[in-house]
Amino acid sequence: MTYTPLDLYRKDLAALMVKTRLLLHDPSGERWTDTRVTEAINLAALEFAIITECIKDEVEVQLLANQWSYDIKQAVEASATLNPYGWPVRIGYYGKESGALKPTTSHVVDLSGATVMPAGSSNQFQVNMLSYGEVGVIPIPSTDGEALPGDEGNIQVTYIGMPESMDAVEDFPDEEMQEVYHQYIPYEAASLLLEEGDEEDLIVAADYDANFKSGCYEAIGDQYQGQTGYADMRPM
Amino acid sequence: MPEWFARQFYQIVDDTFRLCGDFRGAQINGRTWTRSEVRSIANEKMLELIKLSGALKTVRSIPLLEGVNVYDLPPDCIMPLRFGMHGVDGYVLTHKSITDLDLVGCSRTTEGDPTTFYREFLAPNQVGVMPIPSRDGSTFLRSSDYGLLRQISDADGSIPFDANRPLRQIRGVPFVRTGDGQIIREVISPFGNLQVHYIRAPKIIGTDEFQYPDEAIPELVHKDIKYGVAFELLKGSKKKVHRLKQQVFGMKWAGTIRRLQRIVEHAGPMNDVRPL
Repeated sequence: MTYTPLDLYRKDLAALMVKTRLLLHDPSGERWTDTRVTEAINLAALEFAIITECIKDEVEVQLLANQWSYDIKQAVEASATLNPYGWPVRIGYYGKESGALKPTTSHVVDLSGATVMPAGSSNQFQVNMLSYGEVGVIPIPSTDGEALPGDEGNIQVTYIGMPESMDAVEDFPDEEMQEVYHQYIPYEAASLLLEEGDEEDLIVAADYDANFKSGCYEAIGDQYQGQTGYADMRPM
Repeated sequence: MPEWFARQFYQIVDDTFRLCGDFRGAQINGRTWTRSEVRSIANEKMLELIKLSGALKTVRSIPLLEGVNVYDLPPDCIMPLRFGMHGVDGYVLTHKSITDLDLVGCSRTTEGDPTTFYREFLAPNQVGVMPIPSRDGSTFLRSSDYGLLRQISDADGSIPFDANRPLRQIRGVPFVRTGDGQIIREVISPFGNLQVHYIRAPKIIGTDEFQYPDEAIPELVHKDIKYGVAFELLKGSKKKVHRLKQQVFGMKWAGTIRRLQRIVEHAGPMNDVRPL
């Protein structure tokens, strides 16, 4: 029995450019240069990743005695292999298989009269008093965590990542952007370029944007756990 | 090193010219608008983005003085979020209304360590504390959140601390050592002083358009700043296409602010907030 691997639906930058130009009715590049189309495709892929949260990565951050806030974005940037940082979705403690820190806010801590004084281990985190990219752990650790890459006494931040840029024509969208959704990226790319035009361009841009969003929501739907037919079975 | 999707200011300005149909070439003025006009609007829109999303937050210590109960907030403070005493492991100051105290005939002459704050009847950039501080705040370095310690050399030649270490990492270490050390930057201990967490203003971009927006503005929204700027520039235009664009870009800009707000507050599925 033959089967068609999804890889065959994978589109590299060259294929994405061809489709974008078709949608733009600009096959020979009279109106938009390759540079601008490439940039629009990359921004469309970025938008797809933001909306669908399809890229996830994890960074290990060493906790330090008496230090409560940690710059997760900087920790990601210091690594050469991780996807660019988006926002946190889970903060594990003492390794992946151990428990997670629970989200809280400094208002909850203040109003409950709880203390953030240094203690043996942290069990909560907050982001509400910190800038983008930082998290604060509560209680404040009283000792340093194990030196990296060890995970004892450290936090493991799972975050929504952003895609890498496609620069060469043979580059593909990030692996975590599933092949079945590659077809929607050119719609957003074309929409981004057409919104620079006149009224008629704007109408087409809105139409393409709707196509793209529909693909994004389809991808979000498919990400739900238990996505087999059985997941929909309910007692009558 | 900024991510690939970070936009330098000249790119944001060029992107805006393109959206408004006034692009005549990279890094040159449009026919209708100059780069300086677009830069000025872009700075305003970034301020709006931060004010409404609360993306840039910071904390500073305000040194308290004996007998002084009203203090200026930091000059870059857009909105205070929390007032506390004695640093991150100290206590929070709760809000009091002067009018409520007046109604019940309370005086405000008590002295001691502040436990409450008020902003009523003060200038927008001021905060008052109650009770009135009975002592100056500490400048003792024991538990400072700020400052950078370059190096400490003990008398026996050993170096317990080396290189640039933020003081907050060595809180609790008694400074009874002798030897040479150098503290760089002004250091104010949180102990006995007021700490304010607040939303701060983003940096302003001037004529150097090769700069990036404030480093704490997530790069993933740089691409959308152009919508806010174009929305503003196209206001009042009588051209049909401009009016149409203004509607579209206005909606996109509102979406950008909402998205950034959700991203900065996002704490994972346990917090049940999903950025879109």
